[in-house]
Amino acid sequence: MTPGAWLYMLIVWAVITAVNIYCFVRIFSKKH
Amino acid sequence: MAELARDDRWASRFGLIMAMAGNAVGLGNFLRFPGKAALYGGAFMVPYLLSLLLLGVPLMWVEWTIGRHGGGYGHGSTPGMFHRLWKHPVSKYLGIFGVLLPAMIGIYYIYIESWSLGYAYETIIGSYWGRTSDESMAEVFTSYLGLGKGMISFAPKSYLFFVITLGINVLICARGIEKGIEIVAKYAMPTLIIVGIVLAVRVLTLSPVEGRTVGDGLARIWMIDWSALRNPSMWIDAAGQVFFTLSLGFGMVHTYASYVAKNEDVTLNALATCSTNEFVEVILGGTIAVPAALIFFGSAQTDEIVKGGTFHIAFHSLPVIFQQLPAGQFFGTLWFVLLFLAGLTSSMAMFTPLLLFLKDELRMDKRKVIVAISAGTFLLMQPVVLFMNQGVMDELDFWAGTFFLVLFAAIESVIFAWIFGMKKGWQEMHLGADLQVPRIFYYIIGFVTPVFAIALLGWWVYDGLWAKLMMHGVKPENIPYLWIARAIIVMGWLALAWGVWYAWRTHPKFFEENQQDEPGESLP
Repeated sequence: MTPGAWLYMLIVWAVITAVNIYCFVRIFSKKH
Repeated sequence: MAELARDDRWASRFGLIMAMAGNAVGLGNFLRFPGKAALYGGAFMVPYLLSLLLLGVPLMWVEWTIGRHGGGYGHGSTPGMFHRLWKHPVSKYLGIFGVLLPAMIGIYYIYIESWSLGYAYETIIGSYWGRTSDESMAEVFTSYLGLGKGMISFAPKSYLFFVITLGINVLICARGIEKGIEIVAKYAMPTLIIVGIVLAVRVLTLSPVEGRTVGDGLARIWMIDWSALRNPSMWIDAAGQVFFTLSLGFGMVHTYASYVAKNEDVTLNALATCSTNEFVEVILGGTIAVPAALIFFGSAQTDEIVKGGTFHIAFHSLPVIFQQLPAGQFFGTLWFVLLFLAGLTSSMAMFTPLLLFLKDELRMDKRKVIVAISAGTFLLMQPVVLFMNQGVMDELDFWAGTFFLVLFAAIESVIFAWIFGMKKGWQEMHLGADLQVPRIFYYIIGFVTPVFAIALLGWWVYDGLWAKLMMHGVKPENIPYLWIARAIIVMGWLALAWGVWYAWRTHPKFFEENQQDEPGESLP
């Protein structure tokens, strides 16, 4: 795999993981 | 979670999100997605991510909002929900799809799910160990399903696992939202993610085979072939994949969301549902099956495997690979447990819209409804199981699992954005919201999403609906069996249409405008 393809894959993975972390941190940090 | 005037509820927000994510995460995340991505190369991810932004996430917000809005009036299924959005006699009949389609899909999906359970058992006992070629595993699969024995496909073992799987689904559905679906989702989803991570790490640490490395395997999904972007089929497939992977147009998101109180968030929850599904699909699903196949079988054979369809890679190719790995029985069992959990977390909700429709709108006793649904499902599954060779399952999958889903999603996006109105819809969506949706999505939901869904539907109609409808290319001896599948769908729709007519006629006050009808003031 070319460096560009690795970068492409890692960026997509990072964005998806970041959105997950953002959502669940906000959900669990909210006082019920 | 706040209590509603309903006889069930979500006990926790985490449980609700896990159930919604479980509903979205299914067999397609591990089989269909990597298959499509490998078919088109890395370019597939470009239309995929675009469709996710313009179709997937917006429709998820819309379905959560429609569900919570309708649930506020005591409706747990889409006929009542659509009636509350659009005061037109036809709206409740359009909502029938949201009850019919998940039940029709459940009829064959549970059977496929049972194969995973059966193969997990076969892997534990090592019954197919020693069958180290793709062709010999194909024979194992044919034998397991009893496909090679003439007109009727029957094998006692696969039938037993089918009955067990159906029983598990009925049991979960009968225990309701809080004590059934939520409890299973809270344990099954984290387990599924952990098992997925273990398998993904195993694939990422595979030693090279004949010079083929894990990088070569991943390249199949992530190396962009720019010329492929000019291929319209890839754009349609990518949009379709986003659609199916998020379980949009099924009616099940609406039903789950109907148990969310009006002052509780839907925007952040819906985004968390999408992001969890994408984590499982893109990161885990994209790292297991296709890269492993490419490392072991090479590029040319992987092409054939991918073209062979989703069952080929799951039940023929990967078992061959597991037999060549240290602790292969362990990893093979994990793979089929993973598929079973992915299937179960989706299928356990498939009969809930029907259950709630019969219970809420037709005022039927819950116990009787569960017995009727269980018996009806068992009977309707017989043609799927016994006439699999003749294509009954494929016919149900095309109509209920493909075409009508897109039709239903196009209908709901138009009703929400153009009839209920974006201003009211946006306001309704943001009641109790923990996340302010960026304003650009006001215009995307209001225009782009409905047009996108209609265009997708139009393309499929143009691209081959007539041929499918007229059964072009079907063997003459199989035509009566395909009519059985179509008759199941048509009879189901007619029965539900009668149910809607009867419910609205016999309990008119329930459907009258006797409560506040402004967004956010819809609790009974």
